[in-house]
Amino acid sequence: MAAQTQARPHVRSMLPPAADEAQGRRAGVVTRTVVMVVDAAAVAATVGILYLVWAVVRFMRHPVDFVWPTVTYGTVVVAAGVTCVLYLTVTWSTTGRTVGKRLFGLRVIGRDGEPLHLIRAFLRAGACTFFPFLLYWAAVSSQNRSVQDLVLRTSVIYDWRSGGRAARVGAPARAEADPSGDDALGPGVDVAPAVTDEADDRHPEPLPRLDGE
Amino acid sequence: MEQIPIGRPSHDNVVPLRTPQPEVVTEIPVGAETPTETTEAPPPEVARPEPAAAEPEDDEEELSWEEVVARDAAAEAPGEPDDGPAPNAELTLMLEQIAQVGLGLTVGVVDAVAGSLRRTAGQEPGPDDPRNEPIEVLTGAALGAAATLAELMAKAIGAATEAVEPVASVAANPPLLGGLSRGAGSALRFLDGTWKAKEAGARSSAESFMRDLVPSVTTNALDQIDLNALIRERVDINAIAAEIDLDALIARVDINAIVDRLDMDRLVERLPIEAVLARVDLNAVADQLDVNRVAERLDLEAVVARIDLASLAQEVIDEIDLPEIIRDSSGAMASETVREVRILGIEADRFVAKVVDRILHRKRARDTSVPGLGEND
Repeated sequence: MAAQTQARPHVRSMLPPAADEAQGRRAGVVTRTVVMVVDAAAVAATVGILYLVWAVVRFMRHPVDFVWPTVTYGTVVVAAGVTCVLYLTVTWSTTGRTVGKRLFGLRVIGRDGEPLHLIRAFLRAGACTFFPFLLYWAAVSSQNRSVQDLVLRTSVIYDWRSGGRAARVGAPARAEADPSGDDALGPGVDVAPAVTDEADDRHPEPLPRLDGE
Repeated sequence: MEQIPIGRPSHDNVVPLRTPQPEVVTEIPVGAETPTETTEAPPPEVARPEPAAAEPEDDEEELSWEEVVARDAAAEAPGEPDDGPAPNAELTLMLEQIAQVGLGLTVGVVDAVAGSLRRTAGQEPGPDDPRNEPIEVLTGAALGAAATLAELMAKAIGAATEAVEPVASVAANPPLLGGLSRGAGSALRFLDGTWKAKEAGARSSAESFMRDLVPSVTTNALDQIDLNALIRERVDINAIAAEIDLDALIARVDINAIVDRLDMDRLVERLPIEAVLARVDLNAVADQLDVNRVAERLDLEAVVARIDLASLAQEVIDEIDLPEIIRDSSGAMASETVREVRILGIEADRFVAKVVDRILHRKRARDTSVPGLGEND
């Protein structure tokens, strides 16, 4: 833990010390597993919603002889796989955060700390969708990196702050909840100054902070 | 003040004093005296012929009065050589001087008296007033006559003295003088009685006269003097000021009366309050303030009573978005839960990593930092 201690910035933080130290560092396997489960549930829910939408459309077209559409196992797997790849690709290439990662304060970043490029995000999404167990190499890796991370040179870090850019190592989280309110943290996230070069124009209307600012 | 021309009609008769003839002055046996000094009151001894300086005084003491008279007569016998003037000429000169000095003084006094009389009569004639001309001419003529008469009298007295002196010296023997003195004594006592009867009235008249004369003379004299220059030249004002007891002087001043007469508003308007305040160290003043004592003296209840708490509370409630606060509170509770779950996840990650590292006998701690996100990046 010497490296972590050395990387501690002298920045005011309202986070608990354990969480404060972890900001900007690669996440461990437990959190990522939970996030994967949440994301899988999100994908399953999406597939189910798609099925319902399909059924509604069929009902509207043939209301008299409506029957629930029958789907095969293969169809479900394909639909779920496609949905998952698309879902992960879009989220990782935009904010780097899926629903599960947003809930648990994780973020996928590239080498430069920015969200992944679309192709890299797509490749990583495919790898994670079809070879999810490769994630557990992170438990063995001395750098908490899965096989996908090693191959695609990506990282999954703790980043409790909102926004599209990764927190620096040890940088405290910042209550910059999205105006849309889809941040699971909401306005209750601990307040602390973010990195000084943080681009605030991403969030033109930040929610009021707890310290009244 | 108007200056009264003192003795203007008769200046030529009085001032300057007539100086004695040079040959006469050189003949005055009183060697130390100058002619100008003769203008002062001459001592009686000057009028008497001095005895010869060469004679010793003890010889004179041994002579009887008959011998002195005989010696004087022999000394003044005609035909004898005499270097100095005759004693009678000297006496005449003295008398003339006395007459002139008296005349000058008389003229000054008369002029002041005339001015005083004019003022008391309500007349303030100018210096060129034609009404004064006959009076001035008459005055001048009278004074001229008086001067001439004085000269003639002086000469007559000198001549009479010269003629009478031998007779007087003979008549001055004691038997003759005894009878004369008795007669003269009775006459003097009569005259003295007459004077005493009139003394009170004369003194009263003189005093009333002097009461008017003295201010007039003083005023005229002061008009001729530049008192300011005189004081500057003669008076050490600093020495006088050093002896003034200013404390006692100030103690006699009624400061309150002065302050009552002050227009304080005008005074305050002229005060540079801003400049004064700029020089005041308000921080130092504030440091010396005992805020607790000030607070103790505050009647907070009265202050609160003056506040319209109901309207104030209404304004506060209007400004506060209570529903938003409630929503924020619930969100805060949710976020608190999420935070706890996140922290649990982080701790679980560390625990698993530690277990795996122990299984793998890995002694180095994991490097979970991202190179691109270094704090010094």
